[in-house]
Amino acid sequence: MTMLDEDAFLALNALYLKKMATTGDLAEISGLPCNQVQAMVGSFVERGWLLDMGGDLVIQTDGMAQVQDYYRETYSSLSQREDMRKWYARFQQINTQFIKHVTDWQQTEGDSKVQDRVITTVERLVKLIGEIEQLVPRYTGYIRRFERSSSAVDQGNRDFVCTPTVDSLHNIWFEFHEDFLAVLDRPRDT
Amino acid sequence: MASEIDGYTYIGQGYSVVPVGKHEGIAMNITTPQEMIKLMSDPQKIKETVVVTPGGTTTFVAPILYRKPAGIVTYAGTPESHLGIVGRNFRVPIVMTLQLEGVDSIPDGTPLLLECEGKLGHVYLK
Repeated sequence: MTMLDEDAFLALNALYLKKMATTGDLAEISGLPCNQVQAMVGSFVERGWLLDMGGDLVIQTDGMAQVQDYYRETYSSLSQREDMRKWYARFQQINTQFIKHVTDWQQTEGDSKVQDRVITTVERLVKLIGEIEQLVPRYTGYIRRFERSSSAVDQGNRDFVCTPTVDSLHNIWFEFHEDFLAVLDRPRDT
Repeated sequence: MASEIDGYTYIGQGYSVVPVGKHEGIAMNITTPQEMIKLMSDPQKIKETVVVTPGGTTTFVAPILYRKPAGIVTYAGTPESHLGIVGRNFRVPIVMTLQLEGVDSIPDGTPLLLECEGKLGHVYLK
C-alpha cells in the first residue's frame, strides 16, 4: 500500500477523527484550501475510502486503513518513547477534569463559573500541547482551533463549548484525544 | 419503576444521560463501524432504531447521534463521557451501562421502550 502524502493525510485524518463531516469541515480542520480538499474528496470517493451521503462524508474501512498506516509509518518511533507515555498520563488527568466540567456545564445550563473552569482546562491543554508541538508539528492546528473557539465562547457564543455541529471546544478536545491515541498506537480506554 | 408499561416488560436499568421521557424503537446490535455506516445510509430506519452497542467509549457510535436515532443502549460507560456529552446535546434517549435482568441479551428486531426520566434509565422489551 502506498502511503498517503501529508495533505491527503490531513484531509482524510480530519474525517477519521471527526467521524462525519462535510468537505468544508475538512478544509477548515486541515487548514487546506477548499478546492484542494474537494478534489481530494472526489478521489477518495472513487477509491472507496469514504462515502458521500448527500454532503455528509463518512470514512470507510479502506480509508481507515490508509490513515492507520500513515500513523504507524510516521509515528512508530514516538509511540515507543517514555516521555510521550508520561505526557499522556498528564493529559489523562486533565481529560477527566475537562469531561467533568463540560458535563457540569450542560447540567447547570451554562453556569458562568463552570464555563470558566472549562476554558481554564482548555488553556492547560494548549500549554501541554506546546510541549510536544515540535514532535508533532501539525498539532499547532489544534492550538489554532482551541484559541478560535475559546474566543467565540468569551464573546458569548456558548455553542462553542460543546455543541457537536460547530467546531466546539469539546469536539476539538475529542478529536485531539483520538489523534494522540493513534500516534501512541493505543486503544481508547477513557 | 414499573414491571410493565403498555405491553413492554422491564429488562434492566442503567444510567440515563438526559431526561427525555419514554421513547420506543426497534433494537439493532451494532459492534463494528461497518454496521454503523450501513445503518447511517438509511435515514428512515435510524429514526426507528435503538442502537445497542457494547461500550460507552465506542467512538464510531457518535455519528449516529447526528441522525437522531430512537435511542442508544450501551453495556458500559457513564454519562460523564464523550458519548454522554454529545448525546445530551442532541437530547437522544441513552441508557448507559445497562444491567440486564432476566434476559441475557437484546436480539435484533426486538421492540424496546426506553424510560429516561431521572438519573437512571429503564429498558423494557415487547
